[in-house]
Amino acid sequence: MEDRKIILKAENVIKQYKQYDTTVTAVNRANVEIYDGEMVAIIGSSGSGKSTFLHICAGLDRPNSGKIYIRGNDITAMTADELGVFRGNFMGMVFQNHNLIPQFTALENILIPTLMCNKPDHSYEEHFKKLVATLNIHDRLHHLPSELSGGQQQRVSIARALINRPQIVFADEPTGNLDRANADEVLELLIKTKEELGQTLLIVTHDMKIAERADRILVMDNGNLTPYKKKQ
Amino acid sequence: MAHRKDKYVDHVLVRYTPKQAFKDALAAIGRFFTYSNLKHGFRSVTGGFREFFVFFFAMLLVQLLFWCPMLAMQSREATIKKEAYAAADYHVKIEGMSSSEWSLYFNDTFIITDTFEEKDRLYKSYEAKKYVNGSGREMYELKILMREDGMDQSRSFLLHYPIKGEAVAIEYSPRCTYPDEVAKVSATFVPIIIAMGLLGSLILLVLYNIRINHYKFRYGVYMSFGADFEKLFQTAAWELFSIALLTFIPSLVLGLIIQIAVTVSLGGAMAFSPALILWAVLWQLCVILLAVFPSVRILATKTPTSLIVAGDNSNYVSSPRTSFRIFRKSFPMHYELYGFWRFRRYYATLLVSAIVFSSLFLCGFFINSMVTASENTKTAEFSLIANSNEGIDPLLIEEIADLEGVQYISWENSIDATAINAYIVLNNRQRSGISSKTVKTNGGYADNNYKYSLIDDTLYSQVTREGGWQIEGDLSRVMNEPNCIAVSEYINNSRSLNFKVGDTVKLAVFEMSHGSISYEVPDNKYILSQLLSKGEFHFVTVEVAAIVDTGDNDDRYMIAMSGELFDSVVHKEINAMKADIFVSEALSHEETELLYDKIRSSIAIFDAITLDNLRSGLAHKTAQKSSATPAVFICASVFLLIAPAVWLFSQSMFGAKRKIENEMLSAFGATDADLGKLYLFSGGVLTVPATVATVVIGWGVTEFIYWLINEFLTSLGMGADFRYSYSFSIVGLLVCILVSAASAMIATYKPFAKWKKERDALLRKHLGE
Repeated sequence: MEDRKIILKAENVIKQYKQYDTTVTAVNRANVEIYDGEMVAIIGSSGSGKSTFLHICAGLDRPNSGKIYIRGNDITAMTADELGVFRGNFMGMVFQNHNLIPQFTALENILIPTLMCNKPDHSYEEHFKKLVATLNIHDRLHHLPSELSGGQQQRVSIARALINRPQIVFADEPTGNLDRANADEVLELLIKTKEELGQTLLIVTHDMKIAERADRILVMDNGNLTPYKKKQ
Repeated sequence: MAHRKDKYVDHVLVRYTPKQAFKDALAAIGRFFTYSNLKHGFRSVTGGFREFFVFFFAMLLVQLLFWCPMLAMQSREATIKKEAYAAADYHVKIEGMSSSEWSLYFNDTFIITDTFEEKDRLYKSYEAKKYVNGSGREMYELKILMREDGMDQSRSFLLHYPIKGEAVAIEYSPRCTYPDEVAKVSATFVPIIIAMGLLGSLILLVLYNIRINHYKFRYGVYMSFGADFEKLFQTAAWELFSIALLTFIPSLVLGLIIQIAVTVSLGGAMAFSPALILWAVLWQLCVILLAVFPSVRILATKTPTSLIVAGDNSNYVSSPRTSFRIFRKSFPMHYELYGFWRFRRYYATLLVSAIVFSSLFLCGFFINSMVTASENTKTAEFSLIANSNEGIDPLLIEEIADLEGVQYISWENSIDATAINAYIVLNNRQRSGISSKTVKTNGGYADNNYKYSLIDDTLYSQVTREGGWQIEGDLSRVMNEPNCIAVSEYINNSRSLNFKVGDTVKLAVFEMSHGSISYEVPDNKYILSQLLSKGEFHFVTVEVAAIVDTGDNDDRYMIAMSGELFDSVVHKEINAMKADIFVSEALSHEETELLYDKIRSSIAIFDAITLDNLRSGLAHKTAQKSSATPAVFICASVFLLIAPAVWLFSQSMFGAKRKIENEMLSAFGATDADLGKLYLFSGGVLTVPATVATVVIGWGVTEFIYWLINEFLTSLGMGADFRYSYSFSIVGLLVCILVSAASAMIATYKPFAKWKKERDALLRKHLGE
C-alpha cells in the first residue's frame, strides 16, 4: 500500500467554533494520508467532528490551522476562486442531507457541476447516461426533489457528485437517511463507480456495516483521528 | 501592497506575472461574452420567471433612468436646432460696409464665386441689402447661408474671403452657433446619465444582494461543485443582462411615449438617434457589471459550508438560549420580537435598502425645483462691457433702457467690505445663518462677508421694473433718506441672514490701523479679527428700509445704499463695469436682432464699450419648449417605485421560509387568527422604524445633495448662477412615509396570506372538494 501515490494528506488540522463565550474544538490536530484508489471510512459518534473534517478535506470549509494536500497541492493555501475550480475538477461531494436545490429538477441538479466547470455537453453525455442507468433514476430525471423518495434523492446526489468524474469522492453519511435496503444499494453504487472510475472514496458514517466495506477505518473521537482497532 | 507572485493556474502553482494576469483578464473577457452564457442566462430567467419577476420590473425602471434623460437631451438638442433654424435663415451677417467696401467685396467675392458650380462654392446662397445708418450714410448688409452648419464653416469662409472696414461688424447667427449650445446641453446631461447609471446599479445591487442572501444555499451548492467568482459573476451578470434584453424594447417604447407626450405638449422637437440603442446597451452592460460585482465578490469569498448552513432562516430554530423564553412569554408579541432581534441585521439591511430609494424620491423633488428654477430664470439678452476704468456712462444706460423691448438693465456699483477694511455689526438674530463667520465685538457681532452697492436713480428705476429685484419694504427710502439701506439675505442660495425692515445696524468705517494687517490668508474672519484688534473705526448707524432678493447666486450678501451714504462709508468712486440688458419675453428673434442693432448704434460713439449678444432669449425659449422637469420627475418616481419592490421581494422570500414555522406553530396549537396577528404585529412593528428611517434618511440625503450642489460645487466654481433654495418637500415626505409603511405592512402580511391560501387549497384537495 505505501508504494501507492498519496492523494490526500491532512496535517495537524484544527477547527474551532465560537459558540457564545465558549470555544468548541471540532477537529483537534487530525492527521491522515489517503492513497489513490483507496476507500477510507471515518466513523465516530454524533458531534465527534467527522463531518467537519470531511468538509475541510473537501475544501468546503477552512481549518483554523493545519494543511490539506490533495494531489500534492495545498488546498488550504488556495484562494476561494482557485479552490472552487479545483473542487469542480477533482472532487465530488455527497452530502448527508442530499442538498439538492429544491427548485431544480433531478436532471438539472445532476448537471450543476458540468455547468459550473463549463464542460461541453459532449464531454459528459455518455457518462451521464451510464450514471443514470447505474443509479436507476432515468424515469425520475424531470421530477423535483420534493417528488422523489429519500433513496432517489440520494442517488441524484451521488450522480451529481460523480458527473465530472472526480478523482476523490467525499461522502458524508450517504446512507444516513435511508433504510437498510436502500442504504446497501447506495453503498454498492458508490463502490461500483469507484471501482469503475478508479476513484478514491472518503466516507463518513456511523454505520459499522458500511465502514467495514472500506479498505481502512479511522475513528474520530473528540476531534482526534485514530486508526480503528477491532474489539477483541 | 505586495504583488502576488504565485497562483494556481490549471491546478499548478506557477509564477504569476503581470503579463500572465493581463492574458488571463483577456481570456476571462472572452469567456464572458459567449453564446452559451447568453443561453444559460435566458434559460435561467425565463424558466424561473417568478423568481426573477422583481428584476424584470426593476430593470424596466432602471432602463427608464437611461431613456428619460437621454431622450430629453436629444429632444433639447433637436429643439435648439429647430429654434436656431427658425430664428435665422443665414449663418453670417456682415454689416456696416460702406458702398466702396461693398463694391470691392462683392466684386471680389460673390461675382467670382457665382461663376463656380454650386458644389464648388463655400456658401449656398447670399442676400445683400442696402440701408441708411443713424448718421445718414448708405451702408450695405450681407447675409450668407453656408453649405453646412457650424462655426468652422463660416470662419473658413471669412478666412477665404476676408473683409475689412472700420464699421464692419460680423455676426454669427444661431444657425451657426447652435452646435455650441448643443455641446453645452450634452455636457450637462452626460454627468446626469452617468449618475443615473450609478443609481441604476445601486438598485440592481440592492436587489441582487437580497437574492444572494435568500439563495445562499443554492450558491453554496454551486460553489461545492466548482463555481468560482468568475462563474458566479458570469451567471449573475448574464441573468441580469438577459432580463435587460427582454425589457429593452418595452422600456424604449415607454421612454419614447413619455418623451413624445412631453415634447408635443411643450412644443419642442422630438429626436431619436439609432446610435442611442448602442449607447443604451453599453450603459446597461456597465450598470449590470457594476451592480453584481460587489455582491458576487463577497459571496465568492465565503466557504460553501457556511452558505449551505446559513440557508435556513426560519424563526423556529431560534437559538437555544432564547427558545425556552419564547414559549414562556406571550404569543405572538414576544415571540415575534425575539424574531426581530434574531434577524436584526436582515431587518436593518432591508430598511436601509428600501428607504434609500424613498429618499432619492425626495431628492428628486428638490432637484426638480432646481431644474424648474433654472428653466424659469431669466438671463440677460445682451451685456455692455466697459473696457476702461471710466465704466459705463449712466446716461448711456438710461438711453438704452428707454429703447422699446428693453425690460430692464441691471448693473452693479459694488465693492467688497474686505477691500475697504469695513465691517457691519449685527445682532444675534440677524447673523443667524452665518454665526460661525462672525466675530463677537462690542454691541454685537462683526461681519465682513458682504459688499456695498451703490443704488442710484437709474439703477433704482431698473430694478423696480417687472422682473427686477424682489423687494420687501420701501426701496425708495434708500434713495430719499440719508441713513437708510437695503440688504439682501442670501449667500450661495442659502438664506443666511435674518433682517427685518426697520432694523438698525452699525456700519464700521475704517480710519486707521495700529499695526499691519495681513491679507495673505484669504479668510474673511481672520482679516476681521485683525481689524478688530488693530483697526480704528467710526460707526454709522443705519436703518434697514428694504430687504431685497436680487435673484443672483452670490457668495456674499449685499448692502445697497444711496450715493451720499456710499461716499461716506466707502470713500471711493465706483463705476459700473458691466451692465446686463434684459429684454421683453414677447420679442421675436427678429425683433431682438433689431434691438441689438439699435443698441449697437447707441454705443457706436463709445470706443471703450463693447456689446455682447448672449442670445439667452433663444436659449430660454428652447429650455421651456424642451423642459427637463418631466424627466427628473419620472426618474424620481422610479426610485419611489423601487422601494415597495424591495420590500415585497425581500419579505416574500423571507416569508416563504417561514412556511415550516407556520406549520410547526399550528401543530402546537396556534390558530390562524394567532398567526394572522403575528404577521400583522410584525408588519405593524416594521412600519415604525420604516417611518423613522424615511424621515431621517430622507432629510439626510436631501441635505447632502443641497450641500453638494450649493457649497461643495460652488467652492469648486461649478455652482449655479441662479437662485434656488433648499426644499424638503413635506408632500413628498408624506408620500414616502405612506409608501414605506404600506409596503412594510403588505410585504410582511402577504406571505402569510399566501401560505394560508395554499394550505386551504391543499386541504380542499385532500377532502375531495
